Amino acid sequence: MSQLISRVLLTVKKYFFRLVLFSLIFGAAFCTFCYTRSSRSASVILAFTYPNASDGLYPNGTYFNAYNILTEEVLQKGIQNAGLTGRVSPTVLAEEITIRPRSDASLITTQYVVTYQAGKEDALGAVSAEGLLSSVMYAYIQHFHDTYSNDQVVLNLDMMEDEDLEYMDRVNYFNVALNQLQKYLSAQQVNDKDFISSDGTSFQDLINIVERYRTTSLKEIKSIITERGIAHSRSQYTQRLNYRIWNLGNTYEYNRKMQQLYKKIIEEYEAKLTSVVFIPALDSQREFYMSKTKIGIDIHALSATDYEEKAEEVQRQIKQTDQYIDAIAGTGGALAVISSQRVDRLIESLEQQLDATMEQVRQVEKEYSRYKNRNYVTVKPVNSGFMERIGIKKGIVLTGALDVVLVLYLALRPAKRKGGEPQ
Amino acid sequence: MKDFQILRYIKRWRYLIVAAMVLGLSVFYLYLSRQQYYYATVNIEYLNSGAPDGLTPSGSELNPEEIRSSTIVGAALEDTGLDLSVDYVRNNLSIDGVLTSEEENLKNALLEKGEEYTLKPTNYKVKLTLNANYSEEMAQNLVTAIVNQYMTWYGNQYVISRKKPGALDPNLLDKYDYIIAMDLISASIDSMLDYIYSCGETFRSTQTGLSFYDLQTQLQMVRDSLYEDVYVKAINSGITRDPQLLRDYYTADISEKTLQREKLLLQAEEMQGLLHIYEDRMLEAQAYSSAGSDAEDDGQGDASGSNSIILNHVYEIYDENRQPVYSQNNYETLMDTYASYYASAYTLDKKITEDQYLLERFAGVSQASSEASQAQVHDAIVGLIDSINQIYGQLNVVGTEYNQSEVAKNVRVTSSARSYKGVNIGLYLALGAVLFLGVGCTGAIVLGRAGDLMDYVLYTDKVTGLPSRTSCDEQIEKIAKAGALDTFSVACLFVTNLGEVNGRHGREAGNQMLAELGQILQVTARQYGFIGYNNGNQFLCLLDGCSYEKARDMLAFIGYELRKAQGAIKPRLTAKVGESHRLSTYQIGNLISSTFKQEEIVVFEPDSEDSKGGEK
Repeated sequence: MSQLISRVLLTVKKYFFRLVLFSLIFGAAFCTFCYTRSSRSASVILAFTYPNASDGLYPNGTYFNAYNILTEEVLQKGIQNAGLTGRVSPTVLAEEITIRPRSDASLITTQYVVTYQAGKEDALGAVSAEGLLSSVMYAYIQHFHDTYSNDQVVLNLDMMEDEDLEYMDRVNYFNVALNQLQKYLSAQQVNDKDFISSDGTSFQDLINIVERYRTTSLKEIKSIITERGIAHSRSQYTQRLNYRIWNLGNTYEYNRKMQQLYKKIIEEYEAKLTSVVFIPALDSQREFYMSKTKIGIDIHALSATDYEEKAEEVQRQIKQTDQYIDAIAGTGGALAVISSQRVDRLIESLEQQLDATMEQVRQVEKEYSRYKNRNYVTVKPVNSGFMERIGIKKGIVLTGALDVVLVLYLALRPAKRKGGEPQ
Repeated sequence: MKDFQILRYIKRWRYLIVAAMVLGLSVFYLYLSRQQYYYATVNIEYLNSGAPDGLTPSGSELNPEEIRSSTIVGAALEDTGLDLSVDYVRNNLSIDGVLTSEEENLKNALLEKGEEYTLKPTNYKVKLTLNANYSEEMAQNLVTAIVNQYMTWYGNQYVISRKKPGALDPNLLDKYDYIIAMDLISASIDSMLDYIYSCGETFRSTQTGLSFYDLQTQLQMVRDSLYEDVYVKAINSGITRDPQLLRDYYTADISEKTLQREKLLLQAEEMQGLLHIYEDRMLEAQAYSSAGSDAEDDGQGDASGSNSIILNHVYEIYDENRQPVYSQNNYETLMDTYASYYASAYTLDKKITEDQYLLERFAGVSQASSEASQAQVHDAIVGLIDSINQIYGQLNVVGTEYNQSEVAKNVRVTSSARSYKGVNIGLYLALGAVLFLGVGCTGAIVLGRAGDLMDYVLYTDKVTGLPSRTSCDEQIEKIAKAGALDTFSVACLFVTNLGEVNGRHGREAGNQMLAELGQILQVTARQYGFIGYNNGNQFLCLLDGCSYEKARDMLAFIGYELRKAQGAIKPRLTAKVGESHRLSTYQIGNLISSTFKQEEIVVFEPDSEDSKGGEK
């Protein structure tokens, strides 16, 4: 062994400068290769930091799946963002992107390393691999927010703006839209009571605006329509209202019968079989009182009350519709035209106001969404350092290994004779 | 025999060792590549209260093996677009229960006490293994898709009890008359609204931006405006394709509903009778029980029996489907049934009134409506169906998202999918390289040493210990094959007194003298080159890279060594030396021949006593 070591040392000494030269040339070639190759690959760390992420769920409570990055919709959008439409195919791109959990811990991963290695077929042109991967990540984040995170209200305003609809139908559509908007805003306010947009609008401000539309503008329009008996097609609409009265009457009868039924049932209970037990309990003021165990009579009594309320509500609607029919029958001529024009103007004005409010809602929504989702998904590039791009560590190891092999070869090779038989 | 020099053997076989190693590693790599497999795992946990007892939320038996069903695997393959056979994936998918440390401790504690451990695992590991033709990425992607598909399927099967209503048939009017179609549309709206009520109105979908409340109010508005408008137009204008058929339809419907109503009222009367009997008997039993217990206690009975029963525990009772059974006594159940008969009868009353209203409206219609009127209503109904189906489409998306979020409360993923290589080819190759190198080197040493032994037996002169004449011939041939010589010297050594020594002291003394000379020449050969015994008292020295002067130095060295030698009888040694450049001869055969023609040099002249040896 000592003989081998001495031979090796002698060889190193003999070929030292040539070995250094070889190492430099090979190392430079390898690093150049790595650098060229790295320009066709890129990696990012994709981190999910929203509250449900560590439970493997999206913000909306559905199952999280990191591979949604590779859906055609996201990739196509990413390619489009990078301006490579037609030059890179989503199917091929899906095969060139790998998604790996960042850590090996046996928990739900919230960080992934997404790597893109451009294939030979990809014509990236002036776009770098980092550029394409960033575009895909941007598309994914958009998709993520749109599909799993954003809480936006969508109002169907088409029906309200349909001028062929009867006035009262349009008013009812308005009412529904305002109710939907108010419910949405109330829910947002519960989520974050303190949020105020950049122009100083809070969810409560928007709720107040919507409430004002409902209690003043819409109420005013509705009262003109019902009091002045305004309708596009008076006879046809009257027929509809008559049918409605008949239908409500039928419903009223049903509710009354049901109310009577439950009263009758309560009366039929045998008193001696309806014993109750009193239990100490707390009332809403946290005061002690004796609560009794619930029995069938309680439930039937509530049902009877419920049907009675329904019957009364139906009765109220019948009366209201009756008045509307009378008003339609009692109006006509120039006054009706003037009133219709006034209602048209009021509806148009309300439409405009609602459109403006919706714009305001969208703006606040956007700001709130940005504020709420600001750190939901973060993307951080990796391997962007020059030394890492040229593969310096691998280069040193590989050159060193080659030097060792070369020295061993030189040390162990058989000596060659020089010269030959002179002529 | 030659010295045992490991490096010499390895050096001799180095190319073969490296070639064998490369070849061996290539074959090994190919083999490992074929043996390679990739596996990915996901851990899931069932969160429902019945899971430790092996039950699903709906109460049926929990069977995680359902993950391997062809429905789920097939859907996952379709999701990922992977071209794999369903059966292949199913065969390579395993589901194993995993006990948590707490469950493990509980199990051990119970078993130590000799009690039975009946709880089942709530955590399971889903593992998918793919062979060398696929990849780690593919395994990870597929196992994720399988688990996702399973979650959805599990939710629909065991978690979501309410079923989503279906969409409206766009070709409804091809099958039904206008009014009947409107009835079906109304029923469809009702079923959608019932579904929404069962889900609760607060949930808002992030995909559509709509809440259940939004959909509910949209549907109600469609019913109160579009539906009502079309319906009233159709009724008031008596729009029908066949008035008689329509009247027959509703007359038959009224008859059927009337029969049902009568049946319900009869059942209600029967139930009333049963209730009276039940009340009487229960009161009697209560009075008896109360009297008995009072007699035992204090003898003061109470006919009301209000103090008769006090439960020690509040029970939660489940039916065979693990649904909670309301703690309601038979009396209440009978009373409820009694009420439900009347309630159903009143619902039928309402519907019969609606049918009668329609019959009245169509009583005067004697023929089918004009095509223009029919077309108007037809278009209006088609538009209505379209509007409702649009809402249904949104309801479907919102419902699916809602179901997914509900399912996530019952089963969840506890660790993300991770994939691994089954065979660490790099490590095995490194080990293989060490193994092949070790085996190659050992083989070279064994073979080299065996060669040495063979050389010793075949090519070594037994008396002098030097290479024999045969060996000299092979060496000459080998040098000749190597081509023209550079600086090369040949020396022929002659023992001139061997015959004299043999004659005077015997053959053994002659052999002893040659042996001692052989030892000196072996030492010399290590420094200068090949020295062999060429028979006929000759020794042949083939000295590569050795000049004439160096060859003379060698002779002087041999002479010096002989003088130092302790042997009693010493050889008289002469030599002839030829050098390639000096003789301008560069072929070994010629150089040897030329050497024999050179002047003889005395290397060692023994003293007379040395020659006499034992006679001295």
